[in-house]
Amino acid sequence: MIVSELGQYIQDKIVAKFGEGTSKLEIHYDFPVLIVSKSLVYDLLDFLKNDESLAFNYLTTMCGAHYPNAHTEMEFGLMYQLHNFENNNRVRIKVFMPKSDLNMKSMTPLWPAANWMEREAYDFYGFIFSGHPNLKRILNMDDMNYHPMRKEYPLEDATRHDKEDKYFGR
Amino acid sequence: MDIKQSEILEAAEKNFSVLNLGPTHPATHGIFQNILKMDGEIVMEAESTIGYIHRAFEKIAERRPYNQITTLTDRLNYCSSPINNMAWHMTVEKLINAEIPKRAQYLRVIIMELARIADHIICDTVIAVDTGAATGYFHLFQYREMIYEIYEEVCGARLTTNIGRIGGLERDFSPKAWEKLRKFMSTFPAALKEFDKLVTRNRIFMDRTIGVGCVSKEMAMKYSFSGPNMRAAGIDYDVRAMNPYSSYEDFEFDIPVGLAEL
Repeated sequence: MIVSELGQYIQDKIVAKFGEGTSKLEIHYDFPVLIVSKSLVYDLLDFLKNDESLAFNYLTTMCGAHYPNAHTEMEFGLMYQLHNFENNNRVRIKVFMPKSDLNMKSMTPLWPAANWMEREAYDFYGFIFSGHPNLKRILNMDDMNYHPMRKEYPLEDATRHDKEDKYFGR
Repeated sequence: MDIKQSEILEAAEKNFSVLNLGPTHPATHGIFQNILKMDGEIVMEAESTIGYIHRAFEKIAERRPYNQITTLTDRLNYCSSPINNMAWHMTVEKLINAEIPKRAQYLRVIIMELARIADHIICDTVIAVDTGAATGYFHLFQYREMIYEIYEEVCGARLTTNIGRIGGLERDFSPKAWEKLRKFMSTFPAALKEFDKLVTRNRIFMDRTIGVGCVSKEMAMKYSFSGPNMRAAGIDYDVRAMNPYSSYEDFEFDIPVGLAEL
């Protein structure tokens, strides 16, 4: 199926199920991307996974994102990439939220694979996944007190004194 | 870590033992910690800590131009750096909508397939070493060396290759590179066959691997397995065939898929 047709097909199914204006379709390169409202995400992914004609039963990946210059309501985002192996269709679901409310329902009941992916999104961006069985840092040390992949944290630790410019040819 | 004192006591009562494997252990091939709940030699549960070698490539990449990020991708999996390099090039090419000459695409396929072979040589021989058969490892590593010499001829580097450029390749293959490639292709199949005879049907190897840590198709789907692990679990998906990139659609190839039923 052509990407735009596939996107439209999924969009139509979602509109029929959840109503008008619940998702916005965009085509990014060879991917249909659906931008959906936050409260719907879990039910929508459940629908995409279990609906017989859609059957997106494989969670390829999931990640967080931070757009510091975006509108405050759209500052943080999560992306879910799903795959249907039988028809070889792929789709991305995006959801945006403000910094003040980084709560999201955990997808672990749908895909156990979401367990570590959500721990990573928590570790690096500070998303809180309700219903997650073991939401703790995965790659950084437990007593770290910030979420390092947010854009406000600089590349180098400003508190270090051993990294003088002259030693690094700067 | 998360296994508490009470759980250790409970485990002791049930004759389970708790073993701290790692962060550094010769069998983990990398730094990560596992706290294992063991029933004799059988692992019942494991609590893994995988963060010891996180290097924040995403953060470093934030402040670099695209062509300086390629060197970071070398280090994602240094057993097959060229494939990571190509994945990065192709991502940027998609972003800037660049079209790659057919010859460059084919040369990339050759390099990627060499890298795939080199990586599989490491995985397959090292599992043999871990289960007690070192001979095959030394034998096949000669051929990995031949692949590294081909890389060297193409890009000047061996392990962290930084091979290719956004938009194509840095240079065409030299006559010397083709010569080495031909030599590799004419000698490797026989060596692989020999390794297969030496290890795959070896009684010790079979006893130590068959039925150990099995993954069913359903489990592989639920836990988002990918690549060879997914195919070993019996799912016949290969991205090169299903969503071809870099002109893979022009090539004919067989894909091995696991057949065992659990």
